[in-house]
Amino acid sequence: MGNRVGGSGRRADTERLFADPECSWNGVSPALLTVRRLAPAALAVGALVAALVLAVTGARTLLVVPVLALVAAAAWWVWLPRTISAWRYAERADDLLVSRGRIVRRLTIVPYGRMQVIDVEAGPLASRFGIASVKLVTASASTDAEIPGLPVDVAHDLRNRLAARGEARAAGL
Amino acid sequence: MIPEGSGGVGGPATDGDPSEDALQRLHVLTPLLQSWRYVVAAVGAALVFFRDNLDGLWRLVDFVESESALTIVLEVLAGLLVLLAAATGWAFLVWRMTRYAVAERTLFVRRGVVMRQRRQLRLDRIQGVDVQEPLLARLGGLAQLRIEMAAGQGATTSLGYLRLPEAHALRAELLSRSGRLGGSVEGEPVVERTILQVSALRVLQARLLEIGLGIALVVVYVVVATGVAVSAGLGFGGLLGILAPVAPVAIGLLLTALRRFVRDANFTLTESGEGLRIHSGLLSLSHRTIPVGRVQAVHLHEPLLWRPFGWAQLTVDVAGTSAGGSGGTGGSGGNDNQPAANTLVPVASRVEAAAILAGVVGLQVDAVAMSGVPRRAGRLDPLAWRWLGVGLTDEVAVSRTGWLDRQVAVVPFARIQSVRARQGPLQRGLGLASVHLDGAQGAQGWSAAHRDVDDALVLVQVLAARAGELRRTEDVHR
Repeated sequence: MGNRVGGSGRRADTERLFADPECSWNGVSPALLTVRRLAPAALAVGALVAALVLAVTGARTLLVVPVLALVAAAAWWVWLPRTISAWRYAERADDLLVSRGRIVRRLTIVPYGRMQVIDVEAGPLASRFGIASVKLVTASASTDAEIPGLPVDVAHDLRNRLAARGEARAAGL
Repeated sequence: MIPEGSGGVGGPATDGDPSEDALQRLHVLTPLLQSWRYVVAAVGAALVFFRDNLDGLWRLVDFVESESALTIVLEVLAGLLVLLAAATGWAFLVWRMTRYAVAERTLFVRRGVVMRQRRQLRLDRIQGVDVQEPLLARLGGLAQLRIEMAAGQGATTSLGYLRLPEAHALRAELLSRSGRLGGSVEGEPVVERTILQVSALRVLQARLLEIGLGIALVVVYVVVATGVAVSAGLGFGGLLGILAPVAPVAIGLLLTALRRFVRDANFTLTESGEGLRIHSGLLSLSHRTIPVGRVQAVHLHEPLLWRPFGWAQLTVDVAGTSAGGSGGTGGSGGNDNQPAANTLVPVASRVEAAAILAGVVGLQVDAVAMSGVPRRAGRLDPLAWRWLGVGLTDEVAVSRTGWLDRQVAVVPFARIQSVRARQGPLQRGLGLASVHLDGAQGAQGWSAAHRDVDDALVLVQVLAARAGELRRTEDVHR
């Protein structure tokens, strides 16, 4: 008899699992939203151009495709802030927490001693907006701890702090 | 040519270049054994070429059609002989140029005819040394060594062929000098105690049962398709057309089972001072060593069709071994011929398997108190939810997962690389979340699925904390 436990309490538990209020959480830069929104924007522009061409040439029935693309771009645009505000990280005494996702919520905990490589990456677009992503690599290929879109100086500071802590706690396999 | 003395990595951990006398050659028969491979590869390449290039084949047919069958056979034989001679010549050159030497802390390997290669393997980085006897070599009393290093792809060096006793001696020497694996004292014969022997028949039964479900599906398909074809009045051709797609599936399944059978037959698991040793093989033999101290995770599998017989399989994840996926089912054909580095016990009674598991991780896995999942998890996983569970001891985390491949996974806290929690929308509605562990071999198949959220919260915190603690104390005696 799947007895439904009180909804509000359960929501609070979920919140504590993925975003423990006792940790100090940091979000990602708002600039990440701008960068990520370029994709739906490009899609919308492409769809508009296509719609215009179709309207002029008179292939009206095919208009469904660009209209659908426009709707998808709009949904994407509206949804992005929610995904991006869900990305957050917290540094604890012995490990780093990375939490993300709205529909599927994920939390990754990487003990400092397990970090093998800390990558700071910035593509051409990201660096134009002054943001970089910090990626933690452990000996495991399935560790998926990445923090995208931190302001470049924050990213470097974080990298240096993590590297120092990792060195202090380094361990073999 | 590489200038003399350029190979050293420097530092105290390496030896100087070996003197000329110290460098040894492989067995004289090596070129003969290798040349067959070249010929087979050449013929295979030719077949592929002609498959993709029918024009060429027709031209060849036109060319030979004018001659009698006997001359054609003779010509083909002559061609193969020339090919074999050329391959042997090349293999001889390769053999001439391949030499090795074992120093205090380093294994030197020199090879290459056109491009000279000098490889230096630091013995303290060796993860394992396997002795393999491929069929032809085995007939000649020869064997090759496979040396696994602590690194990803391309970290395996094979050295062959040597006389079997020499190969075993070299293996023992490398292991004892590597220091890490608790190798035996040099010159002293290693005493092996047999833990488990599995009869070839049992392995065959188990491997066939493993594909049993797939075969059953194929049979059902064939029966239904035949019925439909007959009632629809399709001719024989139509029936064949319907049945043709499943033929490769059935053949593939049977071949997989057969390959695994050939690999795992004559299975013997022994224990020596060096760790667990595995001897197996029907045609080609392999002798592997599992360094117990480097085991990342152990899995006890009970596939659905094995359960009525009470059988189980054990697999281990060991750092540095180039095994396929952790389930042992992955790997695309080519890898299957190599002994799976992660099979510890191909099939045994569940009691025996649990006892061996206990020997590896130092605890009776059935004695660990397991905590199950709430009943509402059954809505997401109606088949397995009663089995799902997780248990923690002072040193390891145990999880139970799966239905088709029911599995108990044991991961030492000290081997945890990271801890993950995940909650999908359906789980959120039910107040559930899953917890996973990542190990050096990737996702280790350890998962605590569909836990109550506050339970998952505690689990995540405890796992992360325990991983941290043990790691630090462990470093002291590393």
